[in-house]
Amino acid sequence: MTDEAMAAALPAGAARGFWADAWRRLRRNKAAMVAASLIILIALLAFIGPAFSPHAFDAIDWDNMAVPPGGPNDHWLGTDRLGRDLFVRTLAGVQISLQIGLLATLVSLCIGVAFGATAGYLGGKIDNLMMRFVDILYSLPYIFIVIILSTLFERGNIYVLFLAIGAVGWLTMARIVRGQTLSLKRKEFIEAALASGVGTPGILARHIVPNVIGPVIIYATLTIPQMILFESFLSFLGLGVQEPQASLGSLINEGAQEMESAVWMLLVPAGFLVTLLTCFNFLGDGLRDALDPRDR
Amino acid sequence: MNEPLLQLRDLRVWFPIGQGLFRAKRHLRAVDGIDLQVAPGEALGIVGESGCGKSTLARAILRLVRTSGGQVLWLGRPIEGWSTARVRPLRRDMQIVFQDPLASLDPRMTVGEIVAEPLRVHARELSRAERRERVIDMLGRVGLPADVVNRYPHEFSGGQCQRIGIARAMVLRPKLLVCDEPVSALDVSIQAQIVNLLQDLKRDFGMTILFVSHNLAVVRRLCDRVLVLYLGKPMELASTDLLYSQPRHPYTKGLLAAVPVPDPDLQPQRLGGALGGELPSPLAPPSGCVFRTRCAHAVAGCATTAPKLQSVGSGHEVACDLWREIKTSRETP
Repeated sequence: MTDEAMAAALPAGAARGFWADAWRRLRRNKAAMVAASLIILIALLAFIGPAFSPHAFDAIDWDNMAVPPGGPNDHWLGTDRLGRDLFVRTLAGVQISLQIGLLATLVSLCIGVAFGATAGYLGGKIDNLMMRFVDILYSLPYIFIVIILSTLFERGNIYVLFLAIGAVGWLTMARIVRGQTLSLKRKEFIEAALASGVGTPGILARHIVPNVIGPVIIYATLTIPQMILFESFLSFLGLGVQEPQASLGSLINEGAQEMESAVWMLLVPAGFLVTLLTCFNFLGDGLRDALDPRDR
Repeated sequence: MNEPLLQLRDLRVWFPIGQGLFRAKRHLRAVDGIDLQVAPGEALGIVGESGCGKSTLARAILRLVRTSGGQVLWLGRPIEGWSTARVRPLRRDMQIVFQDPLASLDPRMTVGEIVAEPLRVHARELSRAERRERVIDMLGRVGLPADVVNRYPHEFSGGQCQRIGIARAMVLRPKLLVCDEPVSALDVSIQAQIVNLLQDLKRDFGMTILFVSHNLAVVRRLCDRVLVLYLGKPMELASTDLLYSQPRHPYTKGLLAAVPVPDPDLQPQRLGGALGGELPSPLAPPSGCVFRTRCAHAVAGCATTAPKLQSVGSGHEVACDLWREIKTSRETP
């Protein structure tokens, strides 16, 4: 046997894993890269931007109420009806919206992946039972549950609320992961692991989860804007963030009331929201193209 | 003969299918009554057409599919009904190489992690460095350089992937290596390399090999004994020499006649003895002898009684009641 020839036949160059491959494809996707940079930029701005402004998000400037942007003062994006600086308030709103989006997505990701992988891998009666449970939860009206939850928890404690929303929002994630797991568990490398004596937890953690992580990341990226939008919706209804805290949704709500006389109060937070959501969706699409195994 | 490493007693694997509200429960009899003894250090070939239950038999021995009846005895102990935890220590001694080399390797793991996985389960006392050493040593024995440990399976060719699969199976030095069509997905030139590799490993480690294949030439090269399966039932069991020189069962003769010969003058006359017809559905196997629908020698009696394996010589067993009559009809040179 010619071991030397064999060694020579090995592909040259550095070892290139799945992630390096995906990263290379993602980098070539201009829209996704612009979207990712914008998200990072907005996030940075939201967390360090307010420090550069002389105003606090809840401080009232009695001399400058409802002034438009670009006026002869240091309210760069104008003020709202109560004379609060709109630049700082909007960034505070972006902070809260981003945190909530990430938190709720993280919770739904953890529960969904664990639940879906377990159901799919164990199969049979257990799978049936677990997925019917998901179906039942699916058929309950989302907004109804949220309203009940928001009355149960102390009003204004938005993080608890979104922990709870994440805990309800894992259903689609569980279905996606289960579907992937069903096709994975017939693969021979799972059989090989079984033949080596790897136990069920080991197979789930070492083989199933790493192999479903691609679709999971894609779906998670698309869940973040959903959660942000949902939070805005709740705040718009008055169920979310409470004054003087601001979120993008509550700011848009306030702005909408002044739409005819002071349109900037609507446009500033709405501009940030639309930009963020668009960017997350573009990034999600880019990740799907980069991670989709069918493309390989 | 020493104590057999592995014994099968009337082993059956039936898959329930088409079970509906208004339909009776039916079974696909993938493996239907196999008796077998495998001696330590032996290389046993299991051959037959697609769908004859070869792979299912291999998986049943390793408890990768549930058996429906009969017994698997490992070193004389029946392991049926053992819990997963109780079987786990035995897995150290029985490993498998799969048909599809790439699909049998986790695409998200490096080659080093893949080969080290059995060690993680069964040799927990090893340190990280010792484990790495064992992995690299094993990779070297299957003809791969040490620097492959950090690479991913998709970077390798089919033959290289199969070497990685063999390294994973052999890293624990198992007593039994089950090879489920390990070369049928590979190029012919690579097939020979892999068969040679298995021979080298067998010489070095002395493990028993169960070699499942439909490639008669490969089986002849590697195996000491051969079991011929048809629709989940044993047809003929003999040493490789006897089976290839004096096949007794009409099915075996048909299989051997179907092996292509690189001589155009010889080919037509050999094709005369080849098998005709289609493999019957394993859902509705013929009554009596399952092979009778394709057998040139079948008589009325074949439809009523299912022939059992009967001895026709030293270690040569045939499941055909007419073997004496057929014997003279065609004696392969």
